[in-house]
Amino acid sequence: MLEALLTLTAAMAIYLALALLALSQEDHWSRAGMPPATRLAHRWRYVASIVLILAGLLCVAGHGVGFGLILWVMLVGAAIVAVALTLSWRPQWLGGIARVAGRLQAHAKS
Amino acid sequence: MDRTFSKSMVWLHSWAGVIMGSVLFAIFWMGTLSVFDAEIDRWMMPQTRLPAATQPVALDNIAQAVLPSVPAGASQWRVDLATPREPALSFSYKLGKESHAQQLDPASMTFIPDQGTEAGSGFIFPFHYSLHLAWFDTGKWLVGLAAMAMLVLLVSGVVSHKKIIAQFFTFRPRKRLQRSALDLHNLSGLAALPFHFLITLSGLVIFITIYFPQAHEAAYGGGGEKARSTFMAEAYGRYKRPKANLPGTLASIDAMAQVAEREWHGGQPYFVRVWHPGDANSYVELRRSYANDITMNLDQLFFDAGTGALLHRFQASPVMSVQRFMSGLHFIRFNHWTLRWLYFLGGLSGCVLIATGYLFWLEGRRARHAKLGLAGVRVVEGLAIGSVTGIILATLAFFTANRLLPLDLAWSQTGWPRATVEMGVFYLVWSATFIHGWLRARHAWRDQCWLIAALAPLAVTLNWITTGDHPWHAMVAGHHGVLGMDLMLLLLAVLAATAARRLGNLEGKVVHA
Repeated sequence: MLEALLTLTAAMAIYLALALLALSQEDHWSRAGMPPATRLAHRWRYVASIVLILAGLLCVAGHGVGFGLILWVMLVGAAIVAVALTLSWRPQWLGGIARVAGRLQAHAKS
Repeated sequence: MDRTFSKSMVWLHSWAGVIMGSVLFAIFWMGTLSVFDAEIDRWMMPQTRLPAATQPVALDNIAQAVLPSVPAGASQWRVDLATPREPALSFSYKLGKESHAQQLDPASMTFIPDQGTEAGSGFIFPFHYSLHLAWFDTGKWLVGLAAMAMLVLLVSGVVSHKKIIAQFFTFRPRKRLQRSALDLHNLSGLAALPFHFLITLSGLVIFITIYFPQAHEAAYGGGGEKARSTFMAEAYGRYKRPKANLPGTLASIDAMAQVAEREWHGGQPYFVRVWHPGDANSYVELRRSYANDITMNLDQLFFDAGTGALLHRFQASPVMSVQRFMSGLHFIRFNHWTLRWLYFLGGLSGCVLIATGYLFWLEGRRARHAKLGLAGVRVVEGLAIGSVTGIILATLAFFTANRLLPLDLAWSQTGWPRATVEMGVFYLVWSATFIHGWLRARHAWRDQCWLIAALAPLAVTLNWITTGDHPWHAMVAGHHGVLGMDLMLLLLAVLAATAARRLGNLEGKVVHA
């Protein structure tokens, strides 16, 4: 049960991190319905990388080093496709993540 | 070949892809299905849909049940123990050069009638690595060549991709076919790049003894069969002693398994083999299970059959352990359902990668070839259709034939075993799809997609009619393998129907344009 919970959390974190990476590109940012002027700063890519690493640690914690690392690699692959398909068929679904990130960014600036 | 590096990589990528794509798709498709070979076995062998054992069966009981079936003069007999994915016991023996196999229900210790099929583990899995071309290992060498080509394709593909970062998450399904095919090609290739690289490399590493046939001769000198057998003994472990030609007994195998558990620090055997059964020099081999580990260990113990005394123990050397780790990454014999599904998706991404590679090549040349009167597109298109939708269709025909052919077999009068007829249907349909592809050219994609959309639900329905296991019943009865297979078939039908409809729309546009 704990193992499944860790896997699920890791999978969601990886999807979130890759969605942030995609949104940090101007094209995808506007596809998600966000005005170009508010686009994400480059440092969001660092945030995404840290989330990816943390998700890797969750995988290792739940499944051990061997299985955990393979699981992480496979989940990242699956999430890349999932984010790309979201962007092509339902880009507005990433609007939520984009708005939260945009608001956090605006907050940090002020 | 073009002079600039980048252009020569594009050239290499296109041509290696066009030439090897067909074999590569077959390998990837069959490999993807092999991820669930045991589940396909359950679907195709209805009488092995047994409940998973709740407690381990005593090895001595198993020996007692199978011994009456071991003929005098058999050189060995073996039982592979039940696992959650393989609920039946697999019993086999060797008499002379011939092998005989049968399955046993561990609950009743009775033999299950022959299911008359090679199914997933006997047809689909060996197809993946040998293409069923046994003559001089031609199939395995072709697969090796395709794997090397795959590595070249992966590297040249990455090198010739000009906008990796900018288009990393890009898929534009509404653009013209050539563009969206390339997007999907890049996406499936990059997302699963580590998987494709590791699965191809580990596939090559598994067959070290085939692809490097001279390595052991260089290391052990002497050459020939002797060097080979020394290498095999040191690398994979082997213990042999001659027959005494005097009658002997068989001590408790359970007691030997207890010794094994101590030697392996809690490890369990996954198969038991008795050499020279009934002889005074008979000995028992136990192999350690790797159900909970990536590395497929080679740990083996040999016991004197009469006294139960430990005769020999073997563990792989560090270098072989690396080979066994790579093999384990590839074979996924471990119990891990999340990874099993992710491997399945990884394999499918390989199929998408190859199919879209073909589509891009074809769409990029279609107009020009038509104008210049070249036959290239026509030839490659037939090849691509037979290789992609054709092999899927042939696999579905294989499943359908399995549910249509009666088990008791009037076929045996023709001299063809039922399993051979099933495989014959596969090859017949597969050949027909190539001919159809060459005759109908572009339209054959859509035709075959519709056929897939029709045949997949038919297989599900036939399974229901012949076994009573419709998806809901399979779920309630705990036949999860059957349920999964039915659901995947239905999903395949939906995807194929969607593809067929979109292809129809595209053709409509071309006609009206």
